[in-house]
Amino acid sequence: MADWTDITNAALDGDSPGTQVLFEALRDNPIAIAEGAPGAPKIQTAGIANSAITNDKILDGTISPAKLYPAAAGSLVDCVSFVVSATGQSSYTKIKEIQLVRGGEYTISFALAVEIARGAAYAKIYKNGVAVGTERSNRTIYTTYTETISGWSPGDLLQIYAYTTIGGGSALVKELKVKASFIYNGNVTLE
Amino acid sequence: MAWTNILDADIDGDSPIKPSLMESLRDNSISIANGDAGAPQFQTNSIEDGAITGDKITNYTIQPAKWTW
Repeated sequence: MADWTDITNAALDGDSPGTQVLFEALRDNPIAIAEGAPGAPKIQTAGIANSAITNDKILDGTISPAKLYPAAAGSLVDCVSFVVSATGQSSYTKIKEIQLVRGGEYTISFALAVEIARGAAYAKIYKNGVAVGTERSNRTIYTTYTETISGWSPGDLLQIYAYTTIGGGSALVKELKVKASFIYNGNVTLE
Repeated sequence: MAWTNILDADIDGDSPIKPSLMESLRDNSISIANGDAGAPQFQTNSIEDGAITGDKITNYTIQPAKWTW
């Protein structure tokens, strides 16, 4: 590896001799930059041509979720939990949870019903155990509620908490859908 | 630090070695790294395969169009 050498202005003025050390530094410094030698200037974004970073240039197993472009609200299903989750608790209790890969903004929907119509079911979207969604309540068959929530980070836990009032049996939640304007996984285009 | 084009006439055998020429020889390599206006940019072939690790990629930057199987 070539070493990086700082060349002072004094070494380049008209009164200074063109020494072997100076010319070696002029020869070796560009190599030192390319090799990333200690002290050498690092390549900045503007120094790299657009699209020059092809797949082969990226080390395998190195792209973490934080590198992915953030999600934006949309209609493509990024993740879904279809099954019915239920709770008979009388205070907010976690009944569904999805770990997000990407951060950003998602359009989130779920269907809420009450098991017995004498009571009411309540449900709300939480992030990492903290309420972030609108409280939904229902005293009848499944109704789907949708809202857009931003501020998600990679790895966040998107959760549904629910409870039911006396006489309602269980609060039932199904079809939790997390949707975005673009997704990395396959998208159903006909069914 | 600006990029300076060095003419062939500046470095032929009849030309004096001026301080300005020496400064350009010193500064141009830094200018390339910095991506200064006019400086050549690094092309695909100049980058070692696998040299780009995750730390080198800005967060929230990989768009779906870059995805491949």
